[in-house]
Amino acid sequence: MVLLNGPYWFMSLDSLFNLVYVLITLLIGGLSYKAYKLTEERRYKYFAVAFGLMSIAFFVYFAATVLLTTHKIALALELLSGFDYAFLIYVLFTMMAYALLFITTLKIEEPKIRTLILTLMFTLTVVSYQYYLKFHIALFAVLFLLAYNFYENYLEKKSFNSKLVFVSFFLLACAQLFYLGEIYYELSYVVAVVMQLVGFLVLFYMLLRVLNHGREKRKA
Amino acid sequence: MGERRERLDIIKDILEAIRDKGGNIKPTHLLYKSNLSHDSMKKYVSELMEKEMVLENEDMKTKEKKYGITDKGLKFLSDYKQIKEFTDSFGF
Repeated sequence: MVLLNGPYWFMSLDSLFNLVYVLITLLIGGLSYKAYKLTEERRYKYFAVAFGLMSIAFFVYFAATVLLTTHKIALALELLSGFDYAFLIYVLFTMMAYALLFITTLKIEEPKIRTLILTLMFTLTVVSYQYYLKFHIALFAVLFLLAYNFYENYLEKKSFNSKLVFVSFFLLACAQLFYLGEIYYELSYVVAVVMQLVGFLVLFYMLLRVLNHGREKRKA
Repeated sequence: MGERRERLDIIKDILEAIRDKGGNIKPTHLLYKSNLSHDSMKKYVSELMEKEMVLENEDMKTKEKKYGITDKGLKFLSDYKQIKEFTDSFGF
């Protein structure tokens, strides 16, 4: 089963971390939606949808791993003949989320290129064999390009928050390499998960700064 | 030469101009303060009126047309900083 990775002692923790990702991505999605409601610019709506899709993906992963590690789904297991389906749903939502994030952040306007990116990311990961490998390779490429884009944004804006966004996506990109390393060394999976957790926590810290700033300004 | 203003900034500038004039501003003053062409300003103001952030008043004495800011407009201004900081962090 592709869903249960890493050492046995780490599985419950791994599941729990996904709940943290759900909350963080929901918060970002919420703020993007607020930006969309204020400006009615479609890019913010796409951004909100991308993080919404990520929340669904992490929730699916969380729910499936919890059911699997607590052994409460004998019937579901029989019906789904293994939890690879849950992993596939996770992969599908994650890839669509990052594709949308990529298109929105890099301001790709041409519909043909947008369609090409979405189709390539879909076929290279979901509709193929060895999807664990291909998923993390494709995700590394997307996250690395996003991190590079956020680095350029940091150089332009020179703000601490833009630096946090860059650091967060850089950590998320590096985590994908460690996920791949799991094939050779089981503990590499633990490093990947911890790196991903830190990446999301950095993003969360950035969000707290944004929310607190708004509150301070309102008080003033 | 300055950078092109984003839509979010233009809306903020219009609402701020009205607020800073005590909540009511003459169209000519708004045109000057918002730094937009006449057509653009009309387009933005009618959109903000549709969204109930701006309303049109008439001065009782002079019968002059003035634009006022609503509670929704003031709410936008308080949310603006937060959203601006958020969108800037991601490079929008």
